[in-house]
Amino acid sequence: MGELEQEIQLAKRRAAFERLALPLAPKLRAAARRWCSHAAAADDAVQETYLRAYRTFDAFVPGTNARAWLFTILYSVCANERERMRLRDYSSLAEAPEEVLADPAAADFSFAALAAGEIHRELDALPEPFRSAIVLVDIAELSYDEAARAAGCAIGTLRSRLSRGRRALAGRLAHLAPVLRGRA
Amino acid sequence: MSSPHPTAETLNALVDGELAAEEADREAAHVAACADCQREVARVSALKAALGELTRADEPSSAAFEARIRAALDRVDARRSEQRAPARRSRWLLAIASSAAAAVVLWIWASWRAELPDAMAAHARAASEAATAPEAAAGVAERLARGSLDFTPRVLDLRMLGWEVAGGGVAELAGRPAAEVVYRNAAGRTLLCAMLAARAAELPADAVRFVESGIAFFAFTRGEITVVAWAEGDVLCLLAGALPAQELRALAVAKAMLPAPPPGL
Repeated sequence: MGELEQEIQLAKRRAAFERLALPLAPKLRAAARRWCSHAAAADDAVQETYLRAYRTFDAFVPGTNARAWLFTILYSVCANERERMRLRDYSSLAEAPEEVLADPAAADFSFAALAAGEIHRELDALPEPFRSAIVLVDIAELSYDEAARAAGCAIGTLRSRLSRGRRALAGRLAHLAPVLRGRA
Repeated sequence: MSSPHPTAETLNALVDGELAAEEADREAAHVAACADCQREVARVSALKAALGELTRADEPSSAAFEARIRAALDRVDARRSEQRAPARRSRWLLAIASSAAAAVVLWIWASWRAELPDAMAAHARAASEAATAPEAAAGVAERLARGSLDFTPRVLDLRMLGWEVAGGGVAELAGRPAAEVVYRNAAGRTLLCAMLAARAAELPADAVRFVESGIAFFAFTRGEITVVAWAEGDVLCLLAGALPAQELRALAVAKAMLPAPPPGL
């Protein structure tokens, strides 16, 4: 292959990668923020995810799920940060409230928008395998099968972690909305 | 109660749409008749909806971040190109060639012997269609200096005319190495300036020739692109963009009159 053809192939590959992967950046960042101790580390993790994905893009099978592929890489990239979060002292979190995202005077506010900071803090405070199950299914919007593959566990394990994680999270947030108080 | 309560896992899977149709129908029928399970389903649904809503509200604005990712990918591409070919090929053009049109433009660019105004117009289109990362503006002078051109290229300061440098480097223009600098203005318009070792006599015959302050200019129209060329000694300068012909001619005249920039620019 001539040099020009090689460069054309490279440009086509790059364009295909960007079309496939860049639209997922907001979701990847949102998930990474739940897996990293601060926003800058989360953005670094997402960038590393893109670089790893780009390097292995030739191995990606067109037509398969790019979302699952990228979140699997992100989950792996964030392993160290998750461990750091596991070890940190959550008592300090109360001193750093996140901004309230919605104006309570607005007609269509929801408890979620009103209590965004609290929900994020409680999610971040969940023990690790349960938090990741929720991040993979509810934030990354992966199927159970995809989430289990990303987390490297059996699908039954994922189901159990998700169910238990959601129950614990709802319990921690039950004071926000009556609907979160489930059956005894 | 006619059937036993589904497990919490099953109710979660029901909300997530992860049950097979038959099982989903069976469990949904139970839930419809069971207040306890309805509460559990409502709880899971509310939590799931809240997390989805928060994620959407929490998603950071992405333009700056995408630029950062593109710049990181540029560095990967640049390393690949360097490993393969130390040639004075238009690496910067390749690096910003992220739009679908880029491949087409590269094909146009492949016609090495195409006449100069055509090649210039094609490059101007590529530059206007490519999303330029902020980082691309830095180091243009260094890239030009590394390009081992037969002449000393200049990066002209057009800020007083409202044009900021947006990128640039050494590119192959109609088969010859050329220094290319891309400018953008506040309206998002793009201007491409090229310099290469060539003579005005090599320009095609369909030029509209005009003289300003003793300098002869040659204007060409290629589709929506206007190309204006003039000679500065042994160097041929070209300016191209999708601007009204009069505006581009005025810019070319202004550019031709500009003094040489201070060292380092």
